[in-house]
Amino acid sequence: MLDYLIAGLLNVVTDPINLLMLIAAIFIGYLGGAIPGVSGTMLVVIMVPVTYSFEPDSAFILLTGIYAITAFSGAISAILLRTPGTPEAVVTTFDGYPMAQKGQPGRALGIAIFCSVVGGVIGTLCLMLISPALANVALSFSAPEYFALAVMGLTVVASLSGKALTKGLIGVLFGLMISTIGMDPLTGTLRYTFGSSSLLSGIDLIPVIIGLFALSEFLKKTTESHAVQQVISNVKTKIFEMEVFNKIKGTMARSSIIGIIIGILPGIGATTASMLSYSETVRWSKEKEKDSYGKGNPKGIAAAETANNAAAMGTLVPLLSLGIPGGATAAVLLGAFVLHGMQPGPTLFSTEPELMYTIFAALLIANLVMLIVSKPFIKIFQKIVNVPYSILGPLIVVFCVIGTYTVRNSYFDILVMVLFGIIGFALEKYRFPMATIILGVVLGPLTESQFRRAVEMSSGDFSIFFTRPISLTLLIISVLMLFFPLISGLIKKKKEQES
Amino acid sequence: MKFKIGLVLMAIMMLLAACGGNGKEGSAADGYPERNIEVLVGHGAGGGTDLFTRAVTTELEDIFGVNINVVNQEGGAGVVAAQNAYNQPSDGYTLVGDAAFPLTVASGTNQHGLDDFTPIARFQSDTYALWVDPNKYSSIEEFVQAAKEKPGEITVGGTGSMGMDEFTVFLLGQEAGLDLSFIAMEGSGDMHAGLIGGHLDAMVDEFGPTKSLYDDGSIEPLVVFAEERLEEFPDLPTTVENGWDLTDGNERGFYIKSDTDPEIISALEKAMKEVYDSEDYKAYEEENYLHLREGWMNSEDFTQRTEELIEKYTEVAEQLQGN
Repeated sequence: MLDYLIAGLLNVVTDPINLLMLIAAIFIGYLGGAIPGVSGTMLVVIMVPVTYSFEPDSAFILLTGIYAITAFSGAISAILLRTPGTPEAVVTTFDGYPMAQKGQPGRALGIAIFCSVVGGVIGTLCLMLISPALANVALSFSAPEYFALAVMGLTVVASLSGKALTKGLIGVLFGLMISTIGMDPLTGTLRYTFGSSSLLSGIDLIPVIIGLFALSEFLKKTTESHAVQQVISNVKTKIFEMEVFNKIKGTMARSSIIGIIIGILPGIGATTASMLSYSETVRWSKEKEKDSYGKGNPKGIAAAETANNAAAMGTLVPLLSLGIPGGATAAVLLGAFVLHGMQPGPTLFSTEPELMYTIFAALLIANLVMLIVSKPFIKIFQKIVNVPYSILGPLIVVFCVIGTYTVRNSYFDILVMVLFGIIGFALEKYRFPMATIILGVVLGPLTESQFRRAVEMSSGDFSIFFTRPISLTLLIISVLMLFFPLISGLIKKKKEQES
Repeated sequence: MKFKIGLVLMAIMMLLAACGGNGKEGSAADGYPERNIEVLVGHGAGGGTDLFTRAVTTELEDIFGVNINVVNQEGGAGVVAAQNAYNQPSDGYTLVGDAAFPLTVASGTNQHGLDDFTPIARFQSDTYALWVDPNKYSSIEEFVQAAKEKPGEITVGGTGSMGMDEFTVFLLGQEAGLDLSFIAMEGSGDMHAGLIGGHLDAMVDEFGPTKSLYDDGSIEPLVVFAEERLEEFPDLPTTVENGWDLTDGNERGFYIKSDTDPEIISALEKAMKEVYDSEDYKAYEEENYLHLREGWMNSEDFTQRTEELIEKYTEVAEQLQGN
């Protein structure tokens, strides 16, 4: 196996065309990922026809390389401008942007880069070494397990809302409500569409994210005094700092595992992975540290960035070992394999080992190369950040509008984005915990459709959630976690009384 | 300076993302097309209908000498794309690639039926099969027996709700006298995983997406929804053999607004026939197991066929929604 990997590495590095493809992938991945609305999936879809005439190895170096890079590159604008370049990066804004505003944009970017590399490399290694075992884990998950997983994510709302629990609950319910708009996923009944065909497919995640975070920030900035100097004057990226590393290493380890597990589950994806990883990180923190999330805690950035990169690699596991696309991008890659006359699945490892290991090598290199090439790209961004806000602000708005429109060429989505921009602006005045709304919007569809699917599978018998070991375990953990602060408070009181 | 370079690069990316660029002069008669054409697909990137549209449009680009942009507008099994296409001018530069047009019209979600849209050409008439884990059921008789013993408990997966998958399972239940429980899955990924993982008893799917799973023996077809046995699967019984009148599948084709200049429609139809007969398209069909049934239908035949399907499925939709 090692010799295959070495051959793969050599194939990527020594073949000039392949090397060119890798460089092209990095370039396209960085620029595309940095623009809001242009997601990794979209870039891969656009590039697939271009690769028709390529040799399979060059084609897949380009496609998987773009995919690996965009899992990180959305974080740059998320941290510097509060404008997530890809939906996966929305969670990175929670702590990345506040940290940048506190005058440490370099540190925030450094953490994001380092964690992305760690997550991506661990993800690739798992993909390479234990794909078959992981694929079996994915197969043991069905609707009840997905539902239990989503519930576990939702119960974290208490920790995400800090001291404003009521606001947090309102936020998560608001998010869940948004996710019910459109055609019912199981029966096709129309909900809250008011006869408008634009609402048939519901409210897309991207306009909500861009509105709530990027546009609302622009509105806020316009109400501030123009005399205020830019806080971010010098973005000096420090990729590795021992002091920070010691703080976040536990988070990175946990988030890698969460990322991979969520990533391999078909149909869930990297955005949910980073959301769940973030909520678990908050949950596992010490009580007094919990308040610092959302205000620039390095662990928040680490949780999001490690998990989304690990998950991005994880979605390739079911594709390569079972022939089942784990996510939208994997589905496009499946199409690309077929175009090149191959059928992904367990047989591919034995029929095309060179190609497989060339892909693994390309993924490894693409992930590692981020350590080196991120700096020049960030330097370009640094220049942009130094532009006076009277010019930069309108530019951001233009990109928000174009980005939102690009998702599915819809003017309606732009209106949704503007509406959520205003909502976000108003809510932020009341110190509303925005993360809770995103929690609801991201987990809402998963929770609802999997719950109902599970009940349909069991012909209306709710015991299906408690008779399956994985589902039961996950639900017990969520209940315990929900009441743990209460119970530990009671125990403390009792101990105090006794002594 | 670097800032400017960054902006220029971004501008280039934006162009790439929008698949822009200027096309060459049109080569077809009466000057059509003079500019880029947009094809709206009502289904997600990477799915069967999306891949079909992209396979056809790449060939069509060469014939017409203009760029053809495929835009995915997911939602309501194609209704969103149809609605948006309807809102565009009838100048022949906006087409719809769809697989579920008759169904959405029949179930009432799509307000724009054959009065508003004209079918240009049908490319594929895809074939369904009922797939199971071979360790669970070895024949259709065994499956039917199991379903009779446990009415309402046998789960059959399909993608999406009120689409061809659900209609097919519903009709199978009716024809075979079984009480099957249809489970609407998110997409083919979680459906396949559900079947292999043992969470679903069966699923309806086509031969292309299931190829790799069939090749390694993790799933097996029990019955094909066709009149005659397939050359590639001579041992696979058909629905008609079992006395079930069920042969419909997804019929993928292109639609355009009805008040478009008829000459433009016939220019498109002619170019599409050329694509259909091309070697590249044939190769794509075979790789994806789409060649099992003759797909081509010209505008006139496809219009008639669509009319029949709408009539048939309006009745089925009423029964299904009444359930």
